[in-house]
Amino acid sequence: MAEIVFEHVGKSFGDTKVIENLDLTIEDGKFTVLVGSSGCGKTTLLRMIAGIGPATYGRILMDGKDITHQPPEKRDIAMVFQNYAIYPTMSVRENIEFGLKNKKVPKPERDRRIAEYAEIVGMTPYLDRKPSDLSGGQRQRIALARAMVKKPSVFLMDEPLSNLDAKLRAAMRVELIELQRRLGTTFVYVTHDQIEAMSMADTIVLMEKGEIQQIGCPEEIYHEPANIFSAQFIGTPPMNIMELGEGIRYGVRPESIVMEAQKLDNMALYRKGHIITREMLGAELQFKVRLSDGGTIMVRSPREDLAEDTDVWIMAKARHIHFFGADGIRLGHGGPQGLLDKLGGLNE
Amino acid sequence: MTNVADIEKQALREARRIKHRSWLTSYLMVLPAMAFLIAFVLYPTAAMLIMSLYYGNAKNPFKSWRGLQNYNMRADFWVALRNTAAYTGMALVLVMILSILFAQWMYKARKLNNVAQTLFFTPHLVAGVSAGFIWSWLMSSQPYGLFNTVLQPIYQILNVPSIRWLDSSDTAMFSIVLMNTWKSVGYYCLIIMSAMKSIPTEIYESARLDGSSSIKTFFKITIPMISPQLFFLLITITTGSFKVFDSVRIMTNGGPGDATRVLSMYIYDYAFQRNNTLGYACAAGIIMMLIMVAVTVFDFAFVEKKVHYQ
Amino acid sequence: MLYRSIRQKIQRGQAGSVKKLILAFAIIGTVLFVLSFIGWYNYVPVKQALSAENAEQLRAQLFTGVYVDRSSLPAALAGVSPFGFTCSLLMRELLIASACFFALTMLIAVEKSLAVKQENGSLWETVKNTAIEYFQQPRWGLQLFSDVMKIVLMLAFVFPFYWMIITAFKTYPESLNVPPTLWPTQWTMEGYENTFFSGENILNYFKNTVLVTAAVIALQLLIMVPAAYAFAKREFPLKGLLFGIVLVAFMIPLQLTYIPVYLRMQDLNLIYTLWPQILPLGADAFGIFMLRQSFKQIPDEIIESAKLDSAGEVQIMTRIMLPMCKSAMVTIAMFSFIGTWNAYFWPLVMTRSRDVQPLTIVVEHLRDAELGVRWNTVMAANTLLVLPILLVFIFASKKIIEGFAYRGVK
Repeated sequence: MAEIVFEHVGKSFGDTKVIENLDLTIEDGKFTVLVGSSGCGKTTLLRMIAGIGPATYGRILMDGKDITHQPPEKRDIAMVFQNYAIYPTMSVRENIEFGLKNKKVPKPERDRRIAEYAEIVGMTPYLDRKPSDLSGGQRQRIALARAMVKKPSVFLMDEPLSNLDAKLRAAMRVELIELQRRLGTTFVYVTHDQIEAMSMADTIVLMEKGEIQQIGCPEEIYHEPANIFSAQFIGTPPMNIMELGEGIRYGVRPESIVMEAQKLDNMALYRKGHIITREMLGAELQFKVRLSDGGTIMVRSPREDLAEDTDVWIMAKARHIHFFGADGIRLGHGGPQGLLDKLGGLNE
Repeated sequence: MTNVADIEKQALREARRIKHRSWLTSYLMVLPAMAFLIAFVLYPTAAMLIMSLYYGNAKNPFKSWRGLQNYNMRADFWVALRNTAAYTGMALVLVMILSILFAQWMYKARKLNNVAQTLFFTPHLVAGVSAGFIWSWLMSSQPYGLFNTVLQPIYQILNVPSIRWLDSSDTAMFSIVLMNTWKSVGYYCLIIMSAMKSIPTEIYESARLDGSSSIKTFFKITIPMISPQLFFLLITITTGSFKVFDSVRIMTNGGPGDATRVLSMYIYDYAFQRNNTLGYACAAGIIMMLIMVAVTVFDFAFVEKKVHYQ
Repeated sequence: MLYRSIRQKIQRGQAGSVKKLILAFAIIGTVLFVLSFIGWYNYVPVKQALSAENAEQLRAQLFTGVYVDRSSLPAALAGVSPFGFTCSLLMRELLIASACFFALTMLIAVEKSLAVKQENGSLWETVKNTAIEYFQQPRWGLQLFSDVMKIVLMLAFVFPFYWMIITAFKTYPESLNVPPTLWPTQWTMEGYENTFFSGENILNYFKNTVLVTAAVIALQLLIMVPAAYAFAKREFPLKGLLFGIVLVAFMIPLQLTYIPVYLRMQDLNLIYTLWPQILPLGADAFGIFMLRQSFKQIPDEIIESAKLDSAGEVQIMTRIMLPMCKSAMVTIAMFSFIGTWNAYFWPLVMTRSRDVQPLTIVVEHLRDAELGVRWNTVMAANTLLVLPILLVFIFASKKIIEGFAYRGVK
C-alpha cells in the first residue's frame, strides 16, 4: 500500500526536456493509468517511480518518504515491461524465484509463494518450461507472476498488453482489473491506448508533451474534458471541433450527434449535411458528412436507412456541445448561454 | 526547512557516490582490454614508426639516426610489392568468381548441397602450414608428384612439357594462389550463400512474372542484392592477400629467385635475417600498412557507393 | 542388457535422456583418451627404461593391487610422475576402453537416427521415393549432370586430406613410387614413429600448442567479456574515445606490430617461455566488437528488471548476461581455438627455442631434416596437426559454419 507524490519533478535527456516542473499525486490502492501519445513522458514518470531512470531535479515521495535517490532494489515496487523482460535462460520457476532469491527469502517460503502465484496466473503446469517454449500470453503471465510474487506495495506496468493480439488483450484487461481489486495494491499503468485507459482506470492521468492535461476518473474525462486535447484524445473517432468565431471553438462527439432526414425540435445545433461515406461497424454505423460550409464531420449513428450521397440534418442537444476558449481550455459545461445564442445564430 | 534541504543534499551526495562507483566498475571492466590493446597494438605501431627512423638491429634498434633515409626503398622492395600486387589481383579474381559461381550453384536447401557446403568449407579450418605442405607435395614437379602424374596424358596429347608448378618462376605464384583458393573459397562461398538465402523469394517470383531471363535475374537482382557481402569479400580478400605469409614461406620460401617474395616475407627477412636493417624493415612495414589503409579507404570512397544496402 | 534398455528408451521416444547418455559416454571416452594421451606422453622414457618382462610384471602388480615400490625402478624414470607412469603402463587398456566408449556413443547415435527414420517408413521406401521424386522433376538430366559434377568437385576438395592421411601410412620408398600409389601396398607406422624418435619429440610441441591455445582462449574470454559488456551496456565518461581505440586497433594487423613486440619480449627475458605466444593475443579488437554486438542485443529492460529483482552487478552478469551470450562466447572461443592452433607466423617470430615451439613449427623442422624431405613423416606430423581441428569440426560443423557465416554478415 503506498501513495506516490511527485514534487516539482523534471527530466531532461541531454538538451531535450521531457518533463518540466511536474506535480502529481498517485493515490494509494487505486488503479492509475498514465495515458498519452508516444513521447509524452508517461514512461519516464514510471521509470522514475521504479528508480531506473532518475529525475533530473525534484523529489519523489512514497508514503511521505523521499525515495528520489534510492536504488531500485530498495523500493517496494515491481514492474512489468512492455516486452516482459523475461530472463530467457531461466525456466519459468527460476524467473519467478529470481527476485525472492536475491532478497534472501528462505526456500520453503519461496516455494509456497511460487506455487500460490503460479496458480493465480494459471502457469502451474509450465513451471519447468523454458520461456522460449511459451506463447506471448503465457510470457505475459510469467511477467505478472514474477512481479506479484514479491508482494510489492506498488505495481508498475509499462504497456504490458501491447504485444498481445486483440482478443487476448481484451481478456487480460479484465484479468488485470480483477487482480487489482483482489490485491488492493496501488497500480500504475502506462498505455497509449485510450480504450485500455478508459476501461481499466480508477484515475486517468492524461499527458501530452511532458505536461499533465487532465486528471480524473474515466467519466470525468469523457464528459468534462479539460481542453481540446483531452476532448480529442478520448473517443473514436475524436470529437468534431468547429469554429464559432473570435477564437472560440465548439465541439460535439460523433456519437452525440443526431442525424435525421427531417429536422427535429429542441436541439441547440442545426446544420445541413451531405453523407459522403458510410461504414457499417456492426451495432452502429460511422458516417462522414460534408457540411454546407465545406467542412466535414464524423457521425456515429444506428440509422441503417441513411444511404450514401443523401442530404441530412445534423443536430445536437445543448448539453452535448462543448465550448473551448482561444487557449483550448473548456468554458464550463454546456457553455455560457451567450455562446449557445451565438451558435443559434449560425443555425440553418 | 533547513532540515529538509540537508536531507536532500545528503541524498544527492549519495546518488553521486553511487554514480561514481558505477563509473569505477566500468573502468575496471574496460581497463584490462584497453591495456592489452595499447601494449600490443597501439604502442608497437608507434614504436615501429620511431624505429623506422633509425639504423639498428634486434639487439640495439637505435644505433644511429637515419631520418627518412630508410624510406628510400631498395630495388627489391618494388619486386616484393609487385609480387604482392600480383598475388592479390589473382586471388581477388579467382576467389570472387569461384565463390559466386559455387554459391549460385548450391545455395538451395538440399541435402547434397549441405554436404557440399560442409566439405568445401573444411580446408578453411586447416592451418596454412598444413595446407602448404599438402599442396607442395601434390604439386611436386618430381616424377612422383601427383598432379603431374594425373595431367601426364594431357601433356602428351598437347605435346607440351609438364608444368613445374612451384619450381618455375612463371607458375609459382599462381600455384600458391591456387592453393589458397582451395583453402578459402568455401568460406567466402558460405558468406555469399547466406546472403543469397536471405533474398526474399517474392523478388524472384516477381521477376519471373516480369519475364526476366535467369541470366538477367542473376545480374540484375542477385548480384545487387548481395553487393554488401561482395564488398566485404573485396575488403577481406585484399587485406588478407597483403598479409599472406604462411603458405608462401612453406611452399616456396620466396623462390624460385625472388618470384614469390611477398611484402610480409620481405619485411620479416629484413627484420631478423639480415644485419642492421631493422629500421629499414620497420619503414617497409609502415609503407605496407599505409598501402593497406589506402586501398581500404579507396574501396570505401569509390566502391561502396555502388553497394546496395537494404 | 544395457544396450537393450537404451534401445527401448529410444523407441519410447525419450530423446532427452538418450541425448544425455550420448553426452556422458562421449565425455567418459574423452577422459579415457586424455589419460591414455598422458601415458603416451611418458611412453618414450618408460619404454626405454623398462624391459618387456619388467613392464609386464609391473602391469600385473597394478592390476592385482600390489604396491609398486618406486625406489626399485630404474633411475631413468625419476622424472616421470607416478600418475604419468601408471597411465603409461595402462596405455593400451585406456586406449581400448576409450575406443569402446566412442564406439558405443556412435552406435547409440546411429540407432537414434534410425529410429527417427523408421517413423517415416522403411529405409528402402525412403530411398525409392527419393529416387522417384528425383526423376520426376523437370529437366532431371541437367540436374543429374549438375549433381554428378558437384560430387566430383566435392571429392576433389577433400582429396588433399585423403592424400595426407594415406601418405602418412606409406613407407618412405613407396611414397616416392612412380606412379604414386593411391592405396598403400604396405601399411606402416614408420612416419608416425619418426615424429617421435627422429630427434624431435612431437609430443612436446603438441603440449605447447595445447597449452598456448587453452591459455589464449581463457585469457581472451576473461579480458574481452567484461570490456564488451561495459561498452554495450554501461555509461561512463570517455566511452566513445576508448571504443575509438578498439576500432583503430581493429584496423592494425598483428603482422605489422610484431617487431616491437618481439624486442620488448626479448628485453623482458620472456622469449624462451610460452608467454610471447599468449599475451599479445589477449585482447582481440574484433572479438570485443562481436561480443559487444551480442550484449547490445539484450534488451535493457531485462537488466532493469533484474535490478528491480534486487540482483547485484555480479548476479546480473553471471545469471543473466553470460547465459544469454553463451553462443557468442562459444563462437569467440572457437575462433581463437582455430586461430591459435593454426598460428604459424606469430610463433615463428616469437620463439627462439625448440622447447616452446608449437606443432606448426615442428612440421617445418621435420621437412628440413638432413635426410631430405621424408614426405611420409611430414604428412604424419601434418595429420596430427590437422586431426584435432577436423574432429572438432565433425562434431560441431553446424555451429562452426554458423559462426563463420555470422562473421561475414557483420
